[in-house]
Amino acid sequence: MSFPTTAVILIAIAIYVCVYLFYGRRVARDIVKIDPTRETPAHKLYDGVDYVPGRWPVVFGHHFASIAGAAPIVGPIVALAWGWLPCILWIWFGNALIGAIHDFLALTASVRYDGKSIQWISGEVMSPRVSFIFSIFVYLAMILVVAAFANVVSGIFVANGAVATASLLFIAIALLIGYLIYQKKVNLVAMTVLGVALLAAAIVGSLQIPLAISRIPWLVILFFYIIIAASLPVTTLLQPRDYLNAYILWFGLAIGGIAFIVVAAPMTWPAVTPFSANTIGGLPSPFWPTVPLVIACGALSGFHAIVGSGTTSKMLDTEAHALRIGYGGMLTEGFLSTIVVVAMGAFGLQYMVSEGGFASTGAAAAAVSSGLGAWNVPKLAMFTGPYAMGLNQVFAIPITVGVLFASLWVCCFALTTLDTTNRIGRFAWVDVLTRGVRSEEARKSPVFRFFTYKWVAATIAAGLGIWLATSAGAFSALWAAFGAANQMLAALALMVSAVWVTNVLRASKGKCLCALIPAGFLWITVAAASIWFIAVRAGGAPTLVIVGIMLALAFYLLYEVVVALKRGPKEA
Amino acid sequence: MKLRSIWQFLKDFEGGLRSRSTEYIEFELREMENIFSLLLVGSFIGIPSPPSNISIKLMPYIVREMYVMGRRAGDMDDISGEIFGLFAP
Repeated sequence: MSFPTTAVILIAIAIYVCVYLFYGRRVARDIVKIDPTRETPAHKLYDGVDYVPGRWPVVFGHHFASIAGAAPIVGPIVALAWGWLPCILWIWFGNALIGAIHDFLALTASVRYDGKSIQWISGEVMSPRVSFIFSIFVYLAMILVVAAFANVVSGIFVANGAVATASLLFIAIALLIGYLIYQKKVNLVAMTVLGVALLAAAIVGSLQIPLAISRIPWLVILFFYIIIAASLPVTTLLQPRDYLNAYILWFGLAIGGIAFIVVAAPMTWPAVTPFSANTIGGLPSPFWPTVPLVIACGALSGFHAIVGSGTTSKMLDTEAHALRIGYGGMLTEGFLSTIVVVAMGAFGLQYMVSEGGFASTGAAAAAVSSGLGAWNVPKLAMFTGPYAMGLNQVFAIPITVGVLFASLWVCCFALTTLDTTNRIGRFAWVDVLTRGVRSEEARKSPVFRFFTYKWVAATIAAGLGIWLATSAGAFSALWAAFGAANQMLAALALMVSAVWVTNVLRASKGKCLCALIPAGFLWITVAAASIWFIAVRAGGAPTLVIVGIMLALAFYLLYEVVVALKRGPKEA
Repeated sequence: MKLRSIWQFLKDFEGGLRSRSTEYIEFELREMENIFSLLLVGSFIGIPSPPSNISIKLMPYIVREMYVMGRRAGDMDDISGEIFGLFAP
């Protein structure tokens, strides 16, 4: 099946437009009963800082920048072992019927609860125990995120030393720009021009001085980097780097989108491979139920509920914008994953020939079709290489520069994810301990104070994450464990939303199914995949233990959901 | 006209991409506001600060801060909402 890339992209756009118009709008109108005249938290609680209404494209851009990281790029790359067709079908199905509904319901629930998080709402519509277990779940998920992304970054650095150089230069540039803006009060526009120019120079210059360091030393460096970066004031590194990241994301999406729409190359990657292609941990992995663990954020993500209900809900000017931002934001992220699949589908085999040691595209296709997953090319290069080939064909950008740019793009987001995740891990750790230790006396004890101290909390999260990264075995196993945490979080957030729709909005039984069916389907799928993960020992012992704990918590939360649904609306 | 709307959308969207980094500065601003309020009215909760009579005299000038502090005190049971929203993984 040799579909042209343009056709795949146009089909994706058509599907997204249709589900938005005919499904998303209906859910908004008939179930959530969006009312543009109802006051949003941004107006009701306006304070000029936390609660400020924004124009919808600004809020949309903010929301999209928060939800789109490296994960929607990495996941589809690993999942292409099953062939591009099932991979893209799961992305579209997951986007339209699960992920977008999940994001939209979490956002609107938060708007109706004055901008509270989905975790807080779970305590309100179900029980405080659920909220506590939610925070344990989030903490474990954060540890897995640190482990998975430390693995991603160290893998990229080992595979391409120039990316390591460029990333370090980028950190130095961000520190310099932050210093000049905040300490020397230099003009922002001038600093933006300087920052982007230095970034371009760093990309070109780093090709001359690649860093050759092996994986374990990189993980040790990342361990110290995470602790320091997560404890620095945000204006020192995080803020200026995120500011420059925005330009990379914008530029990467724009030129990539244009390139793969106009290039019209045939999708030569095998459309379908064996149902149990070697994917997670190099083991034969059944497409169902393990696909959500691999594609993860490309189709749906539990973190979106946290982002949507944490910040976006406080910026909505009117409820009418919730659909385009919550639902539309997820579809846009799905489009990014679609571009990744298309890039690999069109140029993946060629890249395997040039970089993976295969004699011909036929031999590479045979290796993929056999389901062995033995591509002999670093997984991330399977995106950066084909992406660069697309840019080369359309814009004549040299492939080495294109590869470096795409790698830097992924690396920058992965480094930011490491930094922010460790900050969240620190807060989540303190949150779990504070909720777990109720005695005021115990909270005053030196032991409690020691474990809640900023540097100790940051070191625990970073230490556990890096330790997992070194002991978890294959990258794809660690990635799948992260995927399990993320997707189960999505299932739980969707269940909380379903309880909200049923018990608070009092939607009819038929209409509640739009949240209950995807929540139930996702829960069963991820629980089955987690059981499979443990049964076949896909990861190292620590990863199996964490997945086991999360599975037990998921069963308990399912029980709480059933109790809440049976109980019906809470008495006021 | 349509081209102008598209251009405005792209400009706003691009501004939105950058606004996440701006939010980190607002986080610092919030922290400074909290400290400022505690400095002014901290004596009510036992933190050494200006004598109570000075705090009471200053109260009319910190109406907004008191309103915001009151709301934030209520938000303390949902601290994860603010943190997770800001430091999106």
